[in-house]
Amino acid sequence: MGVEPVVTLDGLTVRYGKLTAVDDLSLEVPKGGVFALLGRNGSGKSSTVRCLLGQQRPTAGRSTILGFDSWKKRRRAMERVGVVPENPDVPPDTTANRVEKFMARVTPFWRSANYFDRLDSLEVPRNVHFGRLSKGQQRQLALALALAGSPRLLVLDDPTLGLDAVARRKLYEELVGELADRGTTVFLTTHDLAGVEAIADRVGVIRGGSLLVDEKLDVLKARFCRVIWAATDTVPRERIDAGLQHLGVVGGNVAAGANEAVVQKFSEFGFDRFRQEARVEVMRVDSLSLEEIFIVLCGTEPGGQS
Amino acid sequence: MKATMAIMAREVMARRELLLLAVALAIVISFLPFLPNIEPYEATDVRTAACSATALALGCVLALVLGATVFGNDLSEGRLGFFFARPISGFAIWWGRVLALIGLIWVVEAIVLLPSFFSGGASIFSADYDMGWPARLAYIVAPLILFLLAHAASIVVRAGTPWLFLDLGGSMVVAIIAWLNLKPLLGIGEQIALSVIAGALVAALLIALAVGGAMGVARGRVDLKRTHSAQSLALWSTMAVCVTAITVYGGWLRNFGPREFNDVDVMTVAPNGGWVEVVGRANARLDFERGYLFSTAGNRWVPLPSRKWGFENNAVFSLDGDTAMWRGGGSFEEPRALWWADIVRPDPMARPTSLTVSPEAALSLSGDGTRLAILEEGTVSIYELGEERLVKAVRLPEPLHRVAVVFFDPNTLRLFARIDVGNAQSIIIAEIDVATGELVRTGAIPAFEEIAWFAVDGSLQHMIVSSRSAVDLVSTKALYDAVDGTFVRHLDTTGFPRFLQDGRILLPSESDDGSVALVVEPTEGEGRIVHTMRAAFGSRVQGEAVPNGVVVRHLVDPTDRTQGIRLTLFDVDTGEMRNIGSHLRSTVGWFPWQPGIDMGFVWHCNQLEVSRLFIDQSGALVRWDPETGEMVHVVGGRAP
Repeated sequence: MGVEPVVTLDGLTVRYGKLTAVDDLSLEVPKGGVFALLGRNGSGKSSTVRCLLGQQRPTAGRSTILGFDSWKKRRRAMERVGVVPENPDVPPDTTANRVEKFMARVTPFWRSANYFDRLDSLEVPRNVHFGRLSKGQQRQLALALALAGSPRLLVLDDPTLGLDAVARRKLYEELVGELADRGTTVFLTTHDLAGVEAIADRVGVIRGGSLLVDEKLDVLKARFCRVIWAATDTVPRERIDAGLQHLGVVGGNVAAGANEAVVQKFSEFGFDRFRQEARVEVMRVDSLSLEEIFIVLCGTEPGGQS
Repeated sequence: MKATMAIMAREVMARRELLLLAVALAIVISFLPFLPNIEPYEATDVRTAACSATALALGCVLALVLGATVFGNDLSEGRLGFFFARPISGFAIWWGRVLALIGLIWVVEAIVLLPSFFSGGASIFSADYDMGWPARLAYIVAPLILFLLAHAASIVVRAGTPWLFLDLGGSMVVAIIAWLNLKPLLGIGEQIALSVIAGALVAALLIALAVGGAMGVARGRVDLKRTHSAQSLALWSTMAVCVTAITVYGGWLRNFGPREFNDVDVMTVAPNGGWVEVVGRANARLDFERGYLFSTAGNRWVPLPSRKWGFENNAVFSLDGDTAMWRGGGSFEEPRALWWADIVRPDPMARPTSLTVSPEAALSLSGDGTRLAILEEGTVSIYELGEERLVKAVRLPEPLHRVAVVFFDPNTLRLFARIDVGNAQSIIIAEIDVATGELVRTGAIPAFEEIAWFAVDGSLQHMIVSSRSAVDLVSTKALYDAVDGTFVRHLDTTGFPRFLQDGRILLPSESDDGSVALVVEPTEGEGRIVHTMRAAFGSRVQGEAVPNGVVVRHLVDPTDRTQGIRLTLFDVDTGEMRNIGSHLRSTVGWFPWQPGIDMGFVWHCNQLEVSRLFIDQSGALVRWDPETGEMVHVVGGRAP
C-alpha cells in the first residue's frame, strides 16, 4: 500500500458551454516535494486549480485534497492548505495587521509569529492597506498568509508573476529549503520554467485541457534529448529515420540533409539501435532544458490548443 | 458560527467610517433647530422630522449601495477567492457579510435617530408619537429588502447570463400571483387578513432573496455566472414554494362554508320562504368573513362575495322570495357587477349579469322578481331581469336625489324622497309608471326641523315619521298615509313604533320607574290596547314571531346585567307572556324586523321568520319552533 496522495484529480473535466477547458484530467501528487503544472495560457491550468481548491464545481470527475473532496468538503480540505493565487485577492481595504486578526480566527493552525517574521524580513509594511502595496509586496503578503497556516499543501498559482529576479529566487529557495523540511507538498503552476526547473520534483504538462506529461522531472529530462550526428551524404535518409523511430523523434531539424533530432524516448538501448541501423557517427547527445521540453510538447501555435 | 463572527467583524471594521458619518449627521441634525426662521417651540418637531427622514433615507441609500456591492464587486474583480481559500463555509461568508452590513445600517439609522430621543422624547419609537407600527417597521424592513434586492439585481446585471429570463419571468409571475392574493382583500375591510397575507408575501420575498443569495454564494463561489444561476434557481424555487403556500393559505382562509361558521350574523331575510343572508367567521380564518344566502329549511346555500358590514351591500329579494340579487366582489369604491340567483330551484346557482352598479346605487326587485330598479346618480333604471334589457330610465328632478325606491307592483315604482326645504326637511312621495316612464308626485309629508327616520309598512299604505326638534331634541312620531302623505294622527310613544303584520302599530314606551308600556293601536278607528311590563329596564321589542306575538328582550335580573338577557313572547292582545329562552341574541337586532322602508333602506323581510331566528351562546344560528317551544339548530356555532 502506498502513501495516500495529497492531491488527486480523477477524470476532472471542465466545460464552459461548448468549450472544454479541462478534459478528463487525472493525476496524483504524492506527499512532499514540488509538483509543477505547466501549460500555455488558456491550457486549462487555472480551471484545474479552481477545481482543486473547491472554488469551481467540475463538469465531471472530482478532485481531492488530503482525502477530502474539494467541492463537497472544501471547508475541511482548506484547513491545511495555503493558497497564493495568480492575482492576490486580499481585500484591498485591509492591512496586514487586520488580516492577521481575521486569519487567526478562521485558520486552525495559524502561527502569528511566523507571519509577522516573514513580513518583517521582506519589509512588507503592516499598516498599509493591501491595495496600496506594490505588486511584489502584495504577493509576499499573500505568501506569508499561505505559509502561516502551517499548510500541508501549498497551492501556488503562478507565484512569481510580477516578482523581480531577487524575489523569485528567494521564493524558490524557501520552497525548496523550508517547505521540504516540513514535508509540505507544493502544487504550483507557473510560466517561469527556468525557475521551476530548479525546484520541481515532478511536472505535469497540460495542453488543450489534456494532460500530456505527468512524471518526475529528472525522468522527463532524461528521456527528452537532442541527438546530433555527423553530416553525411552516403547514408540514405530513410535509414536515419528508421533508426530515429527507436528514440521517439518529436522535433528538431529532421528534414533531408539535416543532422539533428529531438527525441522523447531516449534510452541506452534505443540509442544503440539507432546507431546500428542508421550507421551515422553520433557527435553529441544533449539534454533539453524544461523550457525546451515544454516548447516541444506544447508547440508554437497560439492559445495553447493542440 | 466562529467563522461567521469573524467575517462580520471584518466587514464592520472595513466600513466603520459609516458610523462616523452617522455621528456627524446626528450632530448636524441636533443643531438644525438653531437655524434662523425656526421658532423655539418648533425645535422638537424639526429635530424629530429631520432625524426620521434622514435615518430612513440614509438607511435606504446605504442598503442599495452596500447591497449592490457586498458580493458583486468581489465577484467581478475576482477577490472572493480570498475567503473561499480559507476553511470557511459559503454560508458563513454570506451570512457574515449580510448580517454585518444590515446590522451596520440599522446602527447607522439608530445613531441618526438619537437626537430625537434626547430632545423631548418625541422619537418615532416613543408611545406619544403616533406613527403606527408599519411605519416604524419600515426602518427595519425597508433596508433589509432593499439590501437583498440590490444584491440580487447586482448579480443579475453583472453576470448577464440567460438566467436573466428566469428572473424576469419569475418576477412577473410572482407579481401577478401576489396581486391575485391581495386583490380579494383590498377595499373590503379584511384588515387583519390583508396585513397577514401582505406580510407573508413580504416575508416570502425576504426569505427567497436571502436563500437565493446564500445559495448563490455557497454554490457559485468565485464564479459570477454560476453564482447567478445558483441564485436564480434557489430564489425562484423558494419563491414558488412560499407563494404557493401563501396562495393555498389565502384560499383556505377565504373558502369556508356556512357550516364552519363559529359566529353567525343574519344580514337580511327573504320576504317569503326561509332564505336568509348570513355572514360569519370560522376558526383560524383571521378576520375573514364569508357571506352566504342560506336556506334555513333546506340547508342549501349560495356563496356571496366577501365583504364587511354595510346595509348597501345586502342582498335584495323579490317579495315572493324566489329571486335574490346582490353586488359582486370588489372594493367599496368601485362599480361592481350584479349577480342574481333563482333560489327557488333545488340547486340555486349564482349567476352574473352584465349590469354594474356604483357603491351608492340602491336596488329594488319587483314582487315577482322579473324586474329590477336601480337608483343611481339621480336616475331610476328599470330592467327586465331575464333579458337584462333596459325597460325605462327615468331621470329624477334635482330635489328627489335622496330617495328610497321600491316596487309597488311590476309596473309601478313608489319613491320616498327626503328633501330640504329651507332649514327644514320634508318627504316627497311619488310614483313612476314603468310603461310610460312618467313620474307623478302623489303627496308630501309636511316639513319638520329634522326628520330622524321614517318607516313604511310592507303594503306601502302607511308610514311613520319620526321628527326631532333641533332645539330640545325631543322627538315626535306621527302616522301618515304613504300614498298622499295625509296626516293620520300622532303616535304617543318614547320608543320605536313598528307595524305589526295585521297593520296595527306597536308603540313601546319606557317609563322612568322601569316599567315598559306596550300599546297596540289600529291605524284607524278604535281598539287601543295598553299593556304594562313592570321592572323591565332595558326591554326591547325584537320582532313579531307569531301573529300578534312579539319577542321582548329584557334583563334576567334588572339589578345585575351580568346575568344576561331573557326573551319572552308577548301576546299583544291578551298580554300573556311565554318564555322563549335566555342567553340568546335576536337576529333582528341589526335591522328592522318589519318589511318596508326604514332608515332610507328598503327592507323586504319575512317578519315571522326573522323574528324566530336567534344566535345562541355558541354563536350558532338557531330557530325557535313556536309549536314545541324548542330551539332548533340551523347552522354554525363554536364546538362546545
